[in-house]
Amino acid sequence: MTDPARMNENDEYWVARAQAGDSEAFEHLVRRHQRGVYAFCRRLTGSHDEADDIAQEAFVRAYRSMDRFRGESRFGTWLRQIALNLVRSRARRKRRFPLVSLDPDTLPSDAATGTAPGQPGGDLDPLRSRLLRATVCELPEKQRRTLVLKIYEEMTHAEVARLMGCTIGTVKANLFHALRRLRRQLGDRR
Amino acid sequence: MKCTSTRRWILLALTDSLSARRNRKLNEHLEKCPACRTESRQARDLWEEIAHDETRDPGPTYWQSFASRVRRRIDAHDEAGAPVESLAVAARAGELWCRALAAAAVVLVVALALLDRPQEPPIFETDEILADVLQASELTDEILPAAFSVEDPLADLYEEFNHLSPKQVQRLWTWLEQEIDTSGLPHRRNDDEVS
Ligand SMILES: [Zn+2]
Repeated sequence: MTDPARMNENDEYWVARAQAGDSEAFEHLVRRHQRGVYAFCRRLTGSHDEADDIAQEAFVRAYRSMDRFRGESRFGTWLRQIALNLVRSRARRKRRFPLVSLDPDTLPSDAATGTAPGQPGGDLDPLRSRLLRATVCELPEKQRRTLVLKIYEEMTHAEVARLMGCTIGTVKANLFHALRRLRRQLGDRR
Repeated sequence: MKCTSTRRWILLALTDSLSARRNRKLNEHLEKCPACRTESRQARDLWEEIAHDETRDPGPTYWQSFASRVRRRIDAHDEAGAPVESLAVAARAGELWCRALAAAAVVLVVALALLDRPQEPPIFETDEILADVLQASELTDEILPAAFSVEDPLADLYEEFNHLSPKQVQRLWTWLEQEIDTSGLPHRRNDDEVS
């Protein structure tokens, strides 16, 4: 595993170069964060196509606003903030013009994405894993976003609150509701 | 301590949302109640299961072309986006001024409303207020969204709770109990005390 402190230090170096107009440095940052940003978007949207589009767009927006990144948060957190804003605005648009349903069962098959069924999930039964993801996808938006930030991005309550633009109390409440709903719908482990 | 409260506290503890004092009370209850112990273990298993479920990887071909696809998008924006954007900005300047004025008016109204708010410092910890609200929301989180067709009205309500005085919390509590008919609710369980 890469040491996160070292990783961050390296980010600073590449960010400074990208801010000075070095496009190869920016591409380096893209390659470095592409998996994390994509996985974040995929958990929020439940769809490969949407995650692909939003993740790319997030990097484009980051590129355009590089001069506004002041290093107050980690570069990865900043990218996630941009991605989260995109997810939010698309969700708003989708509520007004509903077109696509968020059904994880309509995701591209494992064969199409080049992985064996259930393989990256490790020891999870693939059916159970699919059910789990489907249930997380069906959570109300704020609960889902809060859960993803807390559990998968491993952020503190304060970090989640800052990104979501809410109070720590709201973060706790959303986590509680998310977990209670999952508990009710998924029941006990088979 | 009631088992129904314990079930809520188990979930709050999993997300580090329980105060140290409540955590101790929870553990005391778990020690003597096998049913809640089982519930706690199952909730913890579920949490672990969710945490370790990884997203499907789109595969090496996808990652190899990702950065170049981002680059193409940037170039496409550069060719088409910039001049249009600057024209649009100029054309929309008047509209923006109108919006700024409207926003200033809203800020003024909100500021006046905040000044009007009682300044008593809240005496509860956020956790404790939250636990009380959760107890109320046990009844309301399934009705309110349906009634007002909003996603999670309570999430916004909780923010407000941080600013409420104890008296106001009590009033809201009474309101919830009076206004909401809980008789037909499927998960309005009877509190089962530990013997
Ligand atoms: Zn019990």
